[in-house]
Amino acid sequence: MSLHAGRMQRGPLTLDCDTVIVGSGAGGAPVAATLAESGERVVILEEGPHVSGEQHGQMRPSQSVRHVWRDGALTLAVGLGDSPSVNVTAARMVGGSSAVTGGVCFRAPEAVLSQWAKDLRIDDLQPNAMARWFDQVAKDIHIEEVPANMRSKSTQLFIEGGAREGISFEPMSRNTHQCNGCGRCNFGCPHNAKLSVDRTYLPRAIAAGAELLSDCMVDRIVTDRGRAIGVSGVALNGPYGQRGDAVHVRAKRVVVAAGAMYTPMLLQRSGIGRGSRALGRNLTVHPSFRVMARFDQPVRGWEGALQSAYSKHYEPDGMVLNSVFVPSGVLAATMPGFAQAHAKFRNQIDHLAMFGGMLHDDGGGRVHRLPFSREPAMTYRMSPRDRARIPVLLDRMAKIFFAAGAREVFLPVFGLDPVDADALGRIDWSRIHGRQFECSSQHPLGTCHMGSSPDHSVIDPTGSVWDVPNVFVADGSILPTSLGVNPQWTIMAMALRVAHRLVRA
Amino acid sequence: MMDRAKIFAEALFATDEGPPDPERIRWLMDDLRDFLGHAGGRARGIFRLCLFACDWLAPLSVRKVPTLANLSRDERIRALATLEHSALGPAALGPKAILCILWFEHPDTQRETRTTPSCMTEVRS
Repeated sequence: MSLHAGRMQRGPLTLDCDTVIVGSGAGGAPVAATLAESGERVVILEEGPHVSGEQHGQMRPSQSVRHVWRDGALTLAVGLGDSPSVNVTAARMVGGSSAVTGGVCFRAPEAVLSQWAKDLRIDDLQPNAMARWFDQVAKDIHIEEVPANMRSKSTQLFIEGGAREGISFEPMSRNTHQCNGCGRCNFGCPHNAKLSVDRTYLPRAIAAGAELLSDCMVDRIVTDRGRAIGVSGVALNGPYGQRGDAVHVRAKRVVVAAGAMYTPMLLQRSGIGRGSRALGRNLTVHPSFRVMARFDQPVRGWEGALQSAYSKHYEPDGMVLNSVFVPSGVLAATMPGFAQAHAKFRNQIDHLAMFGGMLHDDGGGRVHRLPFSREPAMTYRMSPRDRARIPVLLDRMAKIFFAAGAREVFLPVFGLDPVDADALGRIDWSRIHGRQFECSSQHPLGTCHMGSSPDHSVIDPTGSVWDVPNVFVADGSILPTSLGVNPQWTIMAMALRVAHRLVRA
Repeated sequence: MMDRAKIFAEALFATDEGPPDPERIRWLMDDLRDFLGHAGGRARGIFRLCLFACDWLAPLSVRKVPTLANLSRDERIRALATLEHSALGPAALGPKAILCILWFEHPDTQRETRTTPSCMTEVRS
């Protein structure tokens, strides 16, 4: 067995290995490849299904959402106080969210790494020490720049507006090879051009002897006298993919890489890390806002690379501008009105351009464990500094679109009709409550963060949970703070750092 | 739940020419049933809760007796639009988002809105 679908499993299953890895995304996959190639017996358990490139191509976007996105993309971090609620999307499939990102890759900013090293007193988080892991990932997943001729007209218009406002843009880098810029990245690449971890690290791990079991839900880490001895869960081989036969994996070591929403849940359910006040806290999400603009000429923003250019012009203010586009149905959903009022807008969809703005946020979120449920509940209390940035960001983005010649701009504020340039200046932002902002996130981070003391962190500098030394965490949850840039490259680099320490140990 | 979703969809996708094509609404409801069946219990719960809120709160926002089913088509449209512009507006987003995503995948809608996707090796009907 190498790649085995749990839904095809007949009867209970028990496996033995050196290391069992829970989760096959950007954190788990590099660990799996590294350990398997070092000669360890590795088992990877993944809750979601395996989906091939061809299968991605056969799915409409909504079919992708219902089959491979968690909760049909309706996961919400509920805003507290004057904070927006955040729609946090993540995948549930072999390869994790790396398979449904735009493929965008940024190194962690040097200032962020230096701050981690200084605050946590962990020298090998310094930029020069981390460089080897970033370089290794770049080689492993083939990071390349998006050529300018692959930019959508939507992106080109925003860049033109930016140029008139004195704002420069740079090409994004993505983990792709022979991408044709068809713009379907968020629903899985149908051409296998995106080199997500299901196309890179996982095949390497399997080639080195690792066993990957998809459609398998892990319920808990099994411990005995303060040490993990494996995990227990179920194959999703019941009717309609429901819980079915038991799965037990006995292992000398457990690596949890289930993502910032589910890793703290699994640890809590297993009675691990409970002594840490940091478990499930410190959630950061990179709150993101989409601004749309209507132009006189057709834009057809879905033609071209989904994400191709960005600007760090406002980085000192904690803002990054990223090109992005979404399917027409999602565009329509964010337009105000019903019936004729809505039809007026939806009939102009091919004239709309879009750009995204992302905040480098402080940690104000939390993942809660609910009684009688394995699903987490999330809350998000935005810091006053970040909250004050929202209107500034939206105003700046709207002005860039107007500089590009937009007729009107759709701001991500519930119930607000599109505005022209004059009306933009008349918006009284102080009267807009945080709950009225439409906010999304693809980057939940920080809920089991690394530190140098068990008093205010969940894992130690090696990635080991403080109270159970042979349980390790290697995913976005270990990042001590948000990055201000898309995190998949950093998650993979941190995972490699953890994995190579395990090999040396 | 599906009756509430149908009422919401008929109000959302009505045009100057009247209510949406019943055949397309049937297709939408079939696809919605499949979507919710696969998307998981929490997605169903959130969708159901949002629809319930819209069904009861939208009529109240225009001083009518709940539920939306008791109102005429024009009153439903006015009630939902009023709710959307209120502080409770986010309740309308969940159903609106899912229904729009599905609606815009119907070949006729794509033709009408000139949004035919360019990157599909095969599209299941």
